[in-house]
Parts: sequence; C-alpha cells; structure tokens
Amino acid sequence: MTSTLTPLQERWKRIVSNPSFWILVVVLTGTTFLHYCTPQIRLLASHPITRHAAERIMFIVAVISATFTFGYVGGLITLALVVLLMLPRVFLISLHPVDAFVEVIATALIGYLAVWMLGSKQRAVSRLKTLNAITTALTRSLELEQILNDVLDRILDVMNVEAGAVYLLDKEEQGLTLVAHRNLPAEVIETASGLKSARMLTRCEGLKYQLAMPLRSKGKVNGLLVVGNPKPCPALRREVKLVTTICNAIGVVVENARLCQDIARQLQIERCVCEVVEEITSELELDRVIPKVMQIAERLVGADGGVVALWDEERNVITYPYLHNLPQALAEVTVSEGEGLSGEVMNTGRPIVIDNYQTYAKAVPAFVQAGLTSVVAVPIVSGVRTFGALSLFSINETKKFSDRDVTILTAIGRQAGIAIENAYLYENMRFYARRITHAQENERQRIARELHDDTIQSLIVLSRRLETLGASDERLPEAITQGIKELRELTGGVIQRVRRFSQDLRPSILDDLGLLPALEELTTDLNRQAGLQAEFQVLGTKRRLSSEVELTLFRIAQEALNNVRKHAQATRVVLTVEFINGAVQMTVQDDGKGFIPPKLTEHLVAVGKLGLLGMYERAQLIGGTLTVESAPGQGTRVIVKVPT
Amino acid sequence: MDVETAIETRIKPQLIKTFGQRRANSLLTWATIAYVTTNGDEKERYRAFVHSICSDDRVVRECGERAVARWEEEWKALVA
Repeated sequence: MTSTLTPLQERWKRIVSNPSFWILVVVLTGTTFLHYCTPQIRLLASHPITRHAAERIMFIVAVISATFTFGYVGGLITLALVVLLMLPRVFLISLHPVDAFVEVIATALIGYLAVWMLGSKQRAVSRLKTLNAITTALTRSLELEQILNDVLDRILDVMNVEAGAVYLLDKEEQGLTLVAHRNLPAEVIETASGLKSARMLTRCEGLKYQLAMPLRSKGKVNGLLVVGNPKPCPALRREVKLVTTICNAIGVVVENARLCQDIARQLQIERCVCEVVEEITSELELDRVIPKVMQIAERLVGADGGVVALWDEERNVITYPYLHNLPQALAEVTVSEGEGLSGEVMNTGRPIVIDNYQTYAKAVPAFVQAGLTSVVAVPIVSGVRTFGALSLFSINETKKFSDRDVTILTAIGRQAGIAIENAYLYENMRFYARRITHAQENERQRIARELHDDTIQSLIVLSRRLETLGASDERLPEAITQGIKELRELTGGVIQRVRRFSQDLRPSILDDLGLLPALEELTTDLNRQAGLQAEFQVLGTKRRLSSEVELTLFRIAQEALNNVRKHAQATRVVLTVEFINGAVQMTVQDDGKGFIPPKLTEHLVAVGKLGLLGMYERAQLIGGTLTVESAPGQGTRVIVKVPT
Repeated sequence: MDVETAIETRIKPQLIKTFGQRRANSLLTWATIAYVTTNGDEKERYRAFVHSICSDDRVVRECGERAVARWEEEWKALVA
C-alpha cells in the first residue's frame, strides 16, 4: 500500500508523533499562562527571580530544547512562536510597554543566539559524521567502482538530493568515463561518449539544481562529481565546502586505487617478462620460441592475435613466418624492405601504434583483408641488429594500445631479438659441427679404405713372399728359415691389427649392409675381445635409416661399448635397438660399477668425460636426445632417441 | 547553433586537424571539465569550454596568440 501523504504532511506526522513535541507544547502553554497571569509574584521569597524572569528563562529553555530535538529550523520556529506569544502582553496588558518590549527583544536575541550556536554545533557534528561515513566508505576497499557507488549513495543521502554521477578522467586524459550514477536520465547513461554524457547531464532540465566539483588529488584533477535535484535544494548552496572536501578525499582514493592497479599491472608485466625470458632460455629452436613469445605478448596487451615479420636475407624481402589467429596463407606474403608497418618499424627501429590499420597508408592489402583494425608493432632487436618486427592487433574492433602496452612489447621485442640471435648462433654452430663431423667421417673412411686397399694388401703380399721365400730352397740354414717364419707370423699379426684398426675407423659393413649388422658385429667383437657377455637385440619392425642417423647411432654405440669395456668392470652388456613410430631408440645397458652422471652436459668437460660429451653432441646434431642413467653399483644405461 | 553541434562540427574537427586525435581528445576532456564545473547558464559554460581550449599553453605556443584569439572569437560566436 502506497502512502498518499505529501512530504510536508509526512514531516508533520513525524514531528507530532515525537513525545518531545508534546512536552514542548505543555511547557509553552504553561509558560504562556504564567506570562499573562497577574499580579506578579515572587517564586521564592528569599530569591531575586521574579515570575516574569522565570517565564523568560522557561521560554528560552523551550527554544533550546526545540533546537536540540528538531534542529536549527525547529528552534527558529519555536523562537518565532515565543515572540508571538509574548508580544500581546506588551501592547495590551503591560503597564510599562517599552520595558516589556525590550524584554521581548532581549529574550528573542538570547534565544536566537542559543539557536544559532546549537545549530552551528549540530551542523558541524553532522558534517563530521558525513565525512566520517564517507571516509569509512572510501577506505573499505580498493575496488574503485564499488567505492564510488557507496560514496555516491552517502552523498545523495546526506545532501538530500535525488541524482548524482561520478566521472573518472582517463589516465591519458583522453576522456571521461561514467563509473557511478544514480537516477540519471536514460539518455545521459546511454551516451557512449563520457564527455558528451557529462555535458548532457549539465544541461538536463530534470536536474535543474546542480553542483559539479572536480575530484582532485595533489592539485591534479582525476574526475568529476555531479549531484543534482529537480527542485531547489539548500544543501547544494550551503554545503559547497563539505562537498569540496569530500571530492578531494575521493580524488586521493582514486589516485591510490589507480596506483594499486598500476602496481598489480606492473607485477603482472614482470611475471610475463620472466615467463618470456624463461621460454627463451629454455629453447633454442626458433619455431618453438617465437609462437610462445607471441602468445604471451598477446595475453599481456589483450590483443586478438599476433604476427612476427622477419627479414629474409637470401631473398631480400620481409616475410611473415609466424602468425597467430590469422589465415596461414598470409605466411606466403612478402614485402620489400621498408614496406608495410613491419618494414617501417624495422627501418626506424621505433614502435608504432596504428589506431585503424584499414586506413593506414602503408598497409599490406592481405592484412587489411584479414580485418586488422588497431595494431601495435615493435622492432625485434638484439644489440644493433634488427631481425624483424613483432605486431599485435585487434580484429574488427578498435582497441587503444597504451604507452604501457608499447613499453611491455618493446621489452618483449628485445627478448625475442636475443632469442633469434641465440637460435641463429645455435643453428650456425650445429651446421659447423655437422660439417666437421662429416669431414672427419670422410677422412676416416678414406684412411680405412687406404689401409684396407693398400696397406693390408701390401702386407698380405709381403706375407706371401716370405712364405714363398721360406719354401723356395731347402738348403737354407735352419736359423734363416726360422727367422723367415717369425717374420711371416709377425706380418700376419700386423695385418690383423691394421684390419681391426681399419674396421674401427669405418666398418665397411656399415656402408654395405647397414646399422644392424654393424652393431651385431660390434657386439660379437666385444664378446671375442674382452670376454664380456655382449648381447644384441632388435625390437619393432626393422627398417633402414638415413646414412647420417645410422652412422651417428653406430658411433654412439661404439663409444658406449668402448666405455663398458674400458671402465665399467661389467660382466654383461645388452645393446638394444627399438624401432618405434617416427623414432628409433638405442639402449646400451651394462651391469658394471656405475657412476654418478653430471647433472649438466656442460660439466662433462670439467670431469674429463669427453667421450660422453661427444655422444651427447652427436645425438643433438641429428635432433636426438641422449640420456645416461647410472648410480654407483647399479650399472649404467645409455639411451639415445632419434626422430626418423 | 547548440553547444553539441558547435563542438562536433566545428571545434573538434579543427582540433583534430591541427593537433591530431590524441591531443584533441585531451583538450576536449579538459574543456568538458571546465564546462561542467562552471556555475552559470549554458552560454557561460560554453564560453568556459572554449576558453579552456584557447588558454591552453601548448595550443597558444603551437598556433600563436593571434590564431588562438581568432578561434576563440569565432567559436564563442557559434552559440548565441
């Protein structure tokens, strides 16, 4: 059920229902009765206070009491009533009307002084309460929107106004944003532009009586508070200073909240940059590093996608090999030096922010068609070398990339530059290492062939000649025959050793029959030579591998078995080759004394395990991995896995 | 001409043309703050808006006092 009373009636109802009102009525009635009662009497025989003096005091007490109970306005109304009650006596009854009039004036002045003092005190207390309530609301949290909504409610309540709004100034002074509002006309709320909305609010006919104040902190404006009412509101004029103080308090809180947001953002940036550095330092493969870096950058600036442009030195063009959230066909696009946004960034070495790529003069048509709208591009540099450009973009909607975004991306661009430089260095190192290994293998093959085709053949001829010489003349003295025989045996020994050396250098079986027969022969040799029980196993479906992979696996197996023979003190060793989908895994496991493998391959040089280091490097050169599992007394297992 | 039409059709395009989008936005923001916080009727607030732009140090430095004074006079005359 809704009330049909007007605000005035409601207020009157509230006053009448207050018991203090009726006490006041009784006091005023009694005092008035005494005031018009004759003759004058002394209330106390020994006391100088006469009845009229008592009445005046009682009137003032009533005024003070009304001020306490009903406020400044209530006190003034009661005072006016008291004066009206006293005046008839002055003109109609008093024998000394002038004296009586002076008494009324004096009572009125004292009463007003009391009302003014009490009213001032009450207003001061009320202001303090308001400030206290608002400060409490302001310090409750650092969630800006929530704070501003709470504070706006309290301001409207305290000032008894109907509508209000808080606009915050954009950090880069690019506009105002309506963050809290109450009872505003729909068109003001719905206006997309904060500036236009603020101006519309000021012109609003429905909120004719307004007070607008800037929110300041350290003299710097960071927003606006606007409160308004359709009817005149005394508080809007009276409480300007209070509202100014409140606005300053809000201004400080806005600044603090923004600082807090900045710190949170800064921490997030640092975390992301750390993540980027971690990614970059954990990978040397460009194809893995760049997409990850691009995705971290996208997340950081809230972009829809990214593209990395690199300078292709062979073709002298800019290519776009790394794309995210863009059609893969764009990877085929190339532009000349200095063209496109990336070209401009690479030429100038400076970041560029484009609000609308669709109207950008140097736009690449293929990217325009892809719907790029706002784009930020930063150079990818390391030292003085520029490798390319990292671009982040929004698709089909405008996004404002801030100075902060540019700063973050510039840092990421530098990290990406370091990553690319490292990847190039690594690639070069691998290339040279491959060339050296290749040259070494060719040389070994040449020497092995030389030994086999020339040296061994010559030694065999020598052996045959010695045999012929020994059998040619039976008259030869026994000592000479014996000497020739010994020479022949010696030659046979040399032939055996040279043959083995030649096999070690490059077993012809590897080239002729492949890895598996070569490994089998290796284990058979080990069985023969060292008295070790060596086994060879093949798992999975056998297949030939590339000559580079076969040679590498053979060399690793050769080195591992040599280590077993020389150092492991093992009685048994098993060499296993397992063919799996897309890879081949070779394991050499012994039951020897074992050792503590270094945690990092870099430590292998320091502990003199150069053979093991060579195995690691050989595996890496063909894109494989090598793992050594060992512990004292537990034997050793060398596992090498190579993609095929 | 009403205030919004004057701003959208005359003042804003002139500012964007002379100073670029970012700087124009900044000038319009401060002018709006001056407009909203000025006590007075519509015309007085609009005058405060125009004055805020034309008294900006960088505007005066970059365009010269004469040009800025001419703008101020011209823009103020738009809203009668």
